[in-house]
Amino acid sequence: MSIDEGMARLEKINTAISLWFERIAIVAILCMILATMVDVIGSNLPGNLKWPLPAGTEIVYLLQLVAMAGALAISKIDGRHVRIELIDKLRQPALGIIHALVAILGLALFVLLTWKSFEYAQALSAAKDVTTTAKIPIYPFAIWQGICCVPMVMILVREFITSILETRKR
Amino acid sequence: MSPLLIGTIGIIALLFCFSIGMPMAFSMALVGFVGYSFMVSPSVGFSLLPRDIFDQLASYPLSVIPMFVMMGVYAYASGIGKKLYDAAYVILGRLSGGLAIASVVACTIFGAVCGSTSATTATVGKVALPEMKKRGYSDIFSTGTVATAGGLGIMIPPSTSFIVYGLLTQVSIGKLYIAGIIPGVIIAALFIGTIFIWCKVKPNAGPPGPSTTFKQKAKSLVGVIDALVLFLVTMGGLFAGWFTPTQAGAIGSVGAIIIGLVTRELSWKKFVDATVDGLRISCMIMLLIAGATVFSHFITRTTMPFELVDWVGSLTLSPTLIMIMVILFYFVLGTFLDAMACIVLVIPIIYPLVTKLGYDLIWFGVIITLLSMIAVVSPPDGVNVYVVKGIARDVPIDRIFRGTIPYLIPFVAATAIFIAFPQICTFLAQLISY
Repeated sequence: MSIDEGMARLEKINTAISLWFERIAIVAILCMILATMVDVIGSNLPGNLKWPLPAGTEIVYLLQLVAMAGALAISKIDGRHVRIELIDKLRQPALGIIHALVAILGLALFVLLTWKSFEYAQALSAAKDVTTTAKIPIYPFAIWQGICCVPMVMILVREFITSILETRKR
Repeated sequence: MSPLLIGTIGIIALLFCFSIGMPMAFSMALVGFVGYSFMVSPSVGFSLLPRDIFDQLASYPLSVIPMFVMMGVYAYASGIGKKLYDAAYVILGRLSGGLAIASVVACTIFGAVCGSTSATTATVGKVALPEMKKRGYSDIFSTGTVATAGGLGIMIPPSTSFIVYGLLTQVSIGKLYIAGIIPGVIIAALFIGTIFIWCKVKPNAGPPGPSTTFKQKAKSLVGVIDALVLFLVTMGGLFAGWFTPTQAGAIGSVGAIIIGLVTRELSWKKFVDATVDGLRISCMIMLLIAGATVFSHFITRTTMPFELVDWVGSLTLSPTLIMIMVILFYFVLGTFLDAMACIVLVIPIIYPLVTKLGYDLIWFGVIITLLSMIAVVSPPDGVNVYVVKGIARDVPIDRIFRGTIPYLIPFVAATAIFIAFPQICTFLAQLISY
């Protein structure tokens, strides 16, 4: 298998994983809307029927974390993250070198974020940190944040190698 | 090394990361983390990074962002924008430049159910641009008008720009929303005035369309009802204090879905596509805010915002002159940076200065949103221009940018009006308590 084929396969794997994370994120964001609606309607029911969603706020913000972290990688693949495209008109090999630099900086950030998110989860678990009302443990959500950074790391590794390979083009 | 020097180096490093094309959210998080670690200690920096990101992604006040983004994408998928344009077209189409005026009116009303400039531009552009082409409108005029008018999506509530500004400055989002209504209408009126003048000078730019009967006009108004109901329920509830902004966004999202289902415009595929789109947009904004939070922790540590306040305070210039300089600075920055990135990057640094100068933060929010409207059509990063380019593929991008230039006049006029009469931006906000 050539290196180009290997990169194409890695891209396929990254996209497939990111799409799975996104599916979880979609469910989470729809549940956010649903939970908020239940809370609003329940709070405005008359008399004894009044039933605001228990720990509604906590449910919403935790679901939000699941949704936003889950969409991180696919948003990167989709090119959603805002960037300035000043250098895009440069020619090879300069363009490839700058792309590689951007990828390596991003990689450094996300490797750190992955590693430190797991450590943060550990700290939360050790401190038995829970939400105020429903007493939901918070550490699994920090683990989720760390897990969601893994595909980002893979994407950035692929981008780095591809950028280096790009420099060969004229 | 003095904190101020470290802050300056940090800003230079940030601009370097921006210029090499690193995503802005990543740049801010990385420079913020490195700078904070350097100033305090690496171990504190290491713990700051995951905690800041986690705290922002799991922040309940920030949940208003995905809610209103979802409302906008569902309103778009439910065909609300198309009906609005059709109504405006029937009523105004017979005037010189009537289809362009109809586009401005449709963007203004669609802006009342959607908080995004690109969604507003795409919604109205998809129906307006082919029609204007068919009627012999010049491509510079039609594309420039739609790209610029799409910016009204962030001035008329709900608005993602106001949400992010409100969260960064701790100003009530409800007050910001209501404050945007009159300025939004004034800007729309100024756009219409520009269209009139443009068509007087160059009548071929926007020839008049066929006239319609009173019955047709009355019938077309039915298309406005959906948007009106959605606006009244969400914004009315918010202004009346019945809902929090997050709840208003959720109600708006569900309302837009129901409208789409009732009118049979919203298919399963459209629903899924809209959800995916809304999720990715929300993720982009949330990550920008998370990155900006890490960066602002670093910048606060450098004492830069306070030094800036002290330095400006020592100048013998009038507050109005300083404010004009701030606005010019933001305007120039906005031509290079994305509108949202500009807000998250600059506001935490300059809002203490704005407060110190004695300006109302609600008024400043309106001004910043107005400048963001200019940023979304200015090269090289005018997102609305790229949206229009995606619809009118045969029109070169430089012609679309040229079409937006005449609208700098109403933008400058609006800025001058709001500086001279700040009450226009603030008096409605004083009427609500939320």
